[in-house]
Amino acid sequence: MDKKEFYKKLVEELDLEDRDINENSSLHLTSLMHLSLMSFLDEHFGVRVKAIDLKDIDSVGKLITLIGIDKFK
Amino acid sequence: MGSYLHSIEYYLPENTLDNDKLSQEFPEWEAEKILEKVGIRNRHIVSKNETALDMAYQAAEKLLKNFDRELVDFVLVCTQSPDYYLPTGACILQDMLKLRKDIGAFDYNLGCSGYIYGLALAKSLINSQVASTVLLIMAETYSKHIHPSDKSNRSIFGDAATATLILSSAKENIHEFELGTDGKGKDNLIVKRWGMRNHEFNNQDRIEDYLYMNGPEIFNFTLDVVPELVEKVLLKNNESLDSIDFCIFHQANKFILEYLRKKLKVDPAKFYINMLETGNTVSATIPIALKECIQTGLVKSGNKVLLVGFGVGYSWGATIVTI
Repeated sequence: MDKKEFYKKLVEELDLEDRDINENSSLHLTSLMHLSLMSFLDEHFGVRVKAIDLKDIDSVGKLITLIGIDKFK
Repeated sequence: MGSYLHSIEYYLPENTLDNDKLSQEFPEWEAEKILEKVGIRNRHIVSKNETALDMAYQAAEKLLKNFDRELVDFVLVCTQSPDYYLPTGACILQDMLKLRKDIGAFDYNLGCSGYIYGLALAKSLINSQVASTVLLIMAETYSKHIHPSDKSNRSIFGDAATATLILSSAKENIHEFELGTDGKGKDNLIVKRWGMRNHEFNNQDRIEDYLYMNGPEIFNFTLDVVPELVEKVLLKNNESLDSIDFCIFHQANKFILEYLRKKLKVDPAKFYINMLETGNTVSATIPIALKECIQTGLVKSGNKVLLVGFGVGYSWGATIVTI
């Protein structure tokens, strides 16, 4: 998946208010969003993360780092 | 197919309460009189931080010192002094003892009849070929239920744990059972405190004493375990998801169920999701769902139904039933 597609899917998955996001966009994840994000990462990247890993994720850039930059085209 | 008692070990806590100590606390009771009256000189009593499960661990370790623990394929724990309301102590014990993960484990709540019932359960598990090596634990700390001023009960009850191995054999060595039950006697031996019958929320209670659930980690556990569980149970029964008529999973929540269904690639037409009017009723969701499916004709006579349960413990299990 390329980053553009990722941003689009992430907005849909988390139902983000800001529809136009990039690496610098901030993220305010609620505990409900954690579940959605965990299933999203498993489904699209085959990446399994722990809830604790998501605790410090406050930006799209940090989320990309967590997934692994090599997973993007 | 039969079963037999292979070995037994027990553990007694280090702390003791002898008649002299009791007599010091209750001067109106002489040590010799206590001995004469109840025929007990000494009791082993757990320390403040020691629990039934700690004792169970000690007893089981003693037993497994001379036995290959990899062979244990079921753990039954009988206790009325569980470490927690949930999870079941047997799950914790599986981890403490480093037993295999592909085994069954659960607690059951009985008192003095517990061992007889445990043998009946173990024998049934072995004869039905659900297990071949059952670790049966009795672990009780009545001392934690007894008020310090209750000299009569303090003079009678002691704490202990036992561990028994029941194995399969060609010949049956555990013979027929006769069991009995009469709930009319409930008021005659009861611990009312902490039971749900007398439970009232108190603003002073600490939140950590109540139910806590880490939803995302439970989700991860589900993804770790359920797909493999389904694969294994299908293989064991020479079935496939295509040959199964209907799937009923524990109705944890819609999100998890939908995700599992997609992950396992199950046709939505034969995968039940309905907790609208009941929510997650824990162990009751599967039988409720099964009844609903039969009543509404989703499941018909002769259908093969895959049943999958998973949750607190962690604990999980699956089987296929023909209706």
